[in-house]
Amino acid sequence: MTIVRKVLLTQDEFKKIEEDKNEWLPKGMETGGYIFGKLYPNGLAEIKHVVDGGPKAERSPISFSGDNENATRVKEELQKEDPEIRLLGEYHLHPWEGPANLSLGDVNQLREVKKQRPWFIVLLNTKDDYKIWDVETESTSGDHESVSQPQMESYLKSIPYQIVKTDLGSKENLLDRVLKITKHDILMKKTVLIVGLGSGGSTIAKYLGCTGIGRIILIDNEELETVNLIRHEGGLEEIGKPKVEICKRTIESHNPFAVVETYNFDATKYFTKLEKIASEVDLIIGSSGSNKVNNLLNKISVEMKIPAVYGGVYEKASGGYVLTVKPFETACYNCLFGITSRSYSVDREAAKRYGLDENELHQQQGLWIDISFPSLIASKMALAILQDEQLDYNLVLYDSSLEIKKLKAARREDCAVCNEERWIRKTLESNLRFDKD
Amino acid sequence: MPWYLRKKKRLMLEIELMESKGVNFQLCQNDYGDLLWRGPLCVLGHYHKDVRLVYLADFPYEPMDVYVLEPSLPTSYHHVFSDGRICYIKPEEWNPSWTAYDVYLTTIRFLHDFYLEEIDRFW
Repeated sequence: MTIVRKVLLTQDEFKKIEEDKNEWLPKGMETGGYIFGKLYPNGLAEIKHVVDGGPKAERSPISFSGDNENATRVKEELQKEDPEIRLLGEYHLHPWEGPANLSLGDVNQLREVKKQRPWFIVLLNTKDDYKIWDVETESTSGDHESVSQPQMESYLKSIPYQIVKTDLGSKENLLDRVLKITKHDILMKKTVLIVGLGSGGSTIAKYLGCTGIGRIILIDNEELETVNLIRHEGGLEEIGKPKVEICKRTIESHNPFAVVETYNFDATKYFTKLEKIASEVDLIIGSSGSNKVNNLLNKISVEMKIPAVYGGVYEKASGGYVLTVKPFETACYNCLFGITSRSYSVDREAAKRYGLDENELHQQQGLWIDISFPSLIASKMALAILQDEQLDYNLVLYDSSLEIKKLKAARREDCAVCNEERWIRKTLESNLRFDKD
Repeated sequence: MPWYLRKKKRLMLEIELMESKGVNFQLCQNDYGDLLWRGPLCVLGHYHKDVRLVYLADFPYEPMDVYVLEPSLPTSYHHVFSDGRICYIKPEEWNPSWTAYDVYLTTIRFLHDFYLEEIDRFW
């Protein structure tokens, strides 16, 4: 079933709704019309034509009924020019104040319509508010009985929308310069999850957003601070805004055909939520630089068999790594990073090796240029995985003297995550042997 | 479902290691349903009647909590929280191959350094 996840329309089409509103609402009449456009596999509904109620439309202060015959004629004419155009839904304008919420009757009526047209949505406008609504058709029992008032909210879904200033023409027009070098039909159906939208993650999000990937889900719990400015996609005017919203804005300003969903929460504190979101993606990207977050993502990746890409930089961004994981085929995150010291002295030793003191290690120094190199490599490798390209390496090491090494990291036989049973056996055996000695 | 119901072999390993090493701790469950190891520890002559190594919901992907109680350690140190919990590891250093036995050994090392007054220097 097609789920509408985002609505895209131009200012010109939106203006038609406003004109209808200005004509009828001052007379105290309800009004409305039809919206026609295209529906893409990523859940994007692009409104191409807004058509008013038609000559036989009936309007009253509490009801509106459109001229369906006229709408059918309009649709047929539009389809002569572009066969992919379909009726996406209706718009309704109410002459009263208050929030643009659907009534119980509206919800049940819409549920009936959606039996025939599962993608059908409603744009609702009052004097103060403007919303786009969808409803779930499936009840918990699986049938289509009417919804009662207490149940109503759980069936309603507000659809985010983006209004663009200019008519973009077609999606193919916007993506013209990448269509011949990417597997667009595959990418459009893919969903990517990016966890961590700092210096690296915001760069990855922007570049992947410009490839034609259908749906991008962003998770981060931080807001943009002054110290972030010189190495983040967000600018001065966005200080204080959640990083997820900044990255969504960045992607959508380059590619409005991308569906971007945002979640502002700490991935380490709401693991069940993270797991639920990740369960429907094709690729996980761990760009937080946090071992804790990456361990949790690795668990999800391995248990749900979802490919993953992890990227990070070393101290002072003097270098970085990108690891791609195909669960049970190549090394997982723990195969590579699970071999850390079991002692508190690890930081002191590391500091000594780098000729630094311990405090210096935690100051997160690093130029955005140096962080961007591994981020771009991560974006490139993510794209390769999504397009099912075979890579003969899964680990890329980069250092800021511009040296790049491509390596093949094998699975570790005693990995506690992707070879758990063998690791348990080995741990028990080595401990028993140690005891005997 | 709690980790110990999903990962029974891992749970058996945890028990096997603690028992085979002769650790005098008991496995029990707290009010939140978390499993924990509980027992006494004596380090450099300082006796703590109740030390708890608590498995959290996302074990082994997140560190275990460690509480040193009866008596608890003074909170004037950076690595001791008011509820008796100690900061024995940076979350970044944790990996899923850490077992309760590793946490137990690290706790002893922590207390050793604590009583030698080296705790804020090295941890």
